[in-house]
Amino acid sequence: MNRLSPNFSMEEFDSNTEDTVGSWLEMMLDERFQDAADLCDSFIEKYRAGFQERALKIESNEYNDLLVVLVFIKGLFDYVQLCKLTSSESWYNNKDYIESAWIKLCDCRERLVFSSQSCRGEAIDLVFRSLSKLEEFYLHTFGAGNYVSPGIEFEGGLCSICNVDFRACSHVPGGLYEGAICTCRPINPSFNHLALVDTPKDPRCRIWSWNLQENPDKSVTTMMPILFAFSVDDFLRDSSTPSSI
Amino acid sequence: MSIQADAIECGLLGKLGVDSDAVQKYQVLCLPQAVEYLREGSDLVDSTESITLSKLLKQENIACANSYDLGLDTKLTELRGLDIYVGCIWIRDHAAVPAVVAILSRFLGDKIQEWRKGSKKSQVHAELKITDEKISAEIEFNGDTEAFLKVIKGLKDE
Repeated sequence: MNRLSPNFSMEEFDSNTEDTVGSWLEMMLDERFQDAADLCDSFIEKYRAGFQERALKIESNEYNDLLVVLVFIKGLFDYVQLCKLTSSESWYNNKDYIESAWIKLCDCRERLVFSSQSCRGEAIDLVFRSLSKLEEFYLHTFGAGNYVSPGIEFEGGLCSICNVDFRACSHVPGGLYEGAICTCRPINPSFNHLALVDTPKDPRCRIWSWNLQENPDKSVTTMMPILFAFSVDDFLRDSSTPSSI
Repeated sequence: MSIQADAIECGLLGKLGVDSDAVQKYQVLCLPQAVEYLREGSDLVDSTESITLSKLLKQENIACANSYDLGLDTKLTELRGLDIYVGCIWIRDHAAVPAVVAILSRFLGDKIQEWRKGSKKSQVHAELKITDEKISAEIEFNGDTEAFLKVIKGLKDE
């Protein structure tokens, strides 16, 4: 594993990012998927600990730039996984592959939309074009889809940045604060309904027709996840960090 | 604000235990939906979007209060559909309208970026109240986000 230089600087980081993305692009064009995945993994591992511990000698607001780039590289990693999943000629005949690729597509798009605020260039354009084509494929093959959408009520919420009543502080959800994304951490959450919608907030909660089981009384049963704990920066968090909304 | 509008507003919020003097210093209130039908001790439920909107208004130096600022004990709700619930936006000072419209437009504009091709547009659910000496209006809106933006932009021009 690469080690961070003791004289870490944002200039070095930017240069390393540029080199990594250039190499990634070449590997993807040559369909060297495993090499491309390893490259992303190695990049993230190089910076993860220093980022998590805020141990780098940079300004506190530069952690925001670091976060955006790390999420971008993770998005590229997701895309490699997606390419691997869909590389076989008949992947769309395999239900597990169809569902896994859908989830990976959602993860990849969400991370790249987040990072596109400051990451631009040939690589991100290529991925967005490719994701759009894959979404078209899903639309034509499986339709626009139906989704479950849970309503969640909670007794209150705490700001993930300052840990006070979410209503009381000035941190805005989705905003970046010294490398952290502001979210509302629910207190005693409970589901109060489950809706069937065609415009979900989280498209991962898709109902696949092959998972529906018709009962003798004509009712339908399905087993499926109704809430995903995904967050664009989840790979940078400790497993002990509470999930947020 | 006109005396009549002030009396109505303070009467409604008074039922929830809000001190009428506490309201006076604010240009805009971001409150739970259907707040006027509730009584003290009722289950008040803020949407996370309503709270976010109040924070964005404060960032732009609008004197804005949410349930916390008025001392209301509320629950929070998060709906996982694409629809946007901004609660009750109560504009008490017409001078704040342009800023409210600009911030709402930006907030909703960010929200309605279509996630993928073929997806339907999101809808917005809002109660808009304007009570000052120039205008007194109430709009309950449940519909297309772009139509809502047109409605509120119209308010700015009045």
